[in-house]
Amino acid sequence: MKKIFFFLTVLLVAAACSKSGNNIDVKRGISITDGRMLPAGKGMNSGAFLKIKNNGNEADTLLGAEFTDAYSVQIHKSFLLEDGRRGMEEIKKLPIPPGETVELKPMSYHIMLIRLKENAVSGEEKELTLVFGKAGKIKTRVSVD
Amino acid sequence: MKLKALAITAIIFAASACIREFPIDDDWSNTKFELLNQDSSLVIFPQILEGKIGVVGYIYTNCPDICPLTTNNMARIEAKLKEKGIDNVQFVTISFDPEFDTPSVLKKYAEVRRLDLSNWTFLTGEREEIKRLLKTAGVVAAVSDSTTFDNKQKINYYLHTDRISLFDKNYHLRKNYYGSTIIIDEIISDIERISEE
Repeated sequence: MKKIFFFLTVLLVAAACSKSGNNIDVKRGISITDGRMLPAGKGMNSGAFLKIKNNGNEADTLLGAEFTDAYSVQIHKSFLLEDGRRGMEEIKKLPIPPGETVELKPMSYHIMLIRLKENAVSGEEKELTLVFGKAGKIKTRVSVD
Repeated sequence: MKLKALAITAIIFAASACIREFPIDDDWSNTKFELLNQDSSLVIFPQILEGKIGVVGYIYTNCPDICPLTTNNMARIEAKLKEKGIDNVQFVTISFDPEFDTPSVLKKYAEVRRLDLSNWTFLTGEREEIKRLLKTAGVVAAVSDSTTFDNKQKINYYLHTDRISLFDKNYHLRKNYYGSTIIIDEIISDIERISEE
């Protein structure tokens, strides 16, 4: 009986610790889900998208991100002009209000992964680290579309 | 009473004629642009359509959202047409960042997305030829920002038109759509209509 209980406990802990492409990465009230990025060849840019939920009572701020397979990483915001042209610009920080979810998605806020050092091919998974003002660094997995 | 009935009939007839009509937006049959495809082979656009219906998208490969969405939508259109057994459509993607988007870059762009290139060509070319083509197409693309690296290499970010265009078998432009938000069923329906012409 004790053996079965021990075995079940080990299984439960293993399941809780296991990671998948869209698992929830949580730290200090910030949870990251639905991470994905665009396929791109070595030397090209890619974009990363995800959801950031602030489960805490205090505001936090996304200050940037780290991605070992890119020469630099920036937070960008896409915009639409009245004449139908679309563009984007870098922003230095993205507020994450308490109790809210901020979604980084196409044609809105996104993470620009600039000049990839390796191919990012459809079906792969990569590691992305988000840097917050209060929560600090949170690692997450992003699946390549 | 008879006059009223006649008038109503005439209105219905005229309305249905308008619904059936699918006007030509522009005639490209006398235009010629010398470009390179993803294999660095010389291609003449729009003649590469060779009597097929053309679905043409405009992108640059360093674009993080609009252009990948446009490309993905073209892939979805391609898949839907295959499902329906419609095989008289040629897909063309034209880059407006020819300095960065060389043939090998375009080839890699398609490869990492695992695109089916059996009836899809990616095109680039000399800057002046691309400018000339964009002007004819009414597509605007201007550098709005850039990132310069230590080795002086520069990546440009563009302010640009969001566009997929539909051509018929006679090199006539029939319709423009927003590439990133195109309604797949709408363009499929339009392709079926001009297939019957």
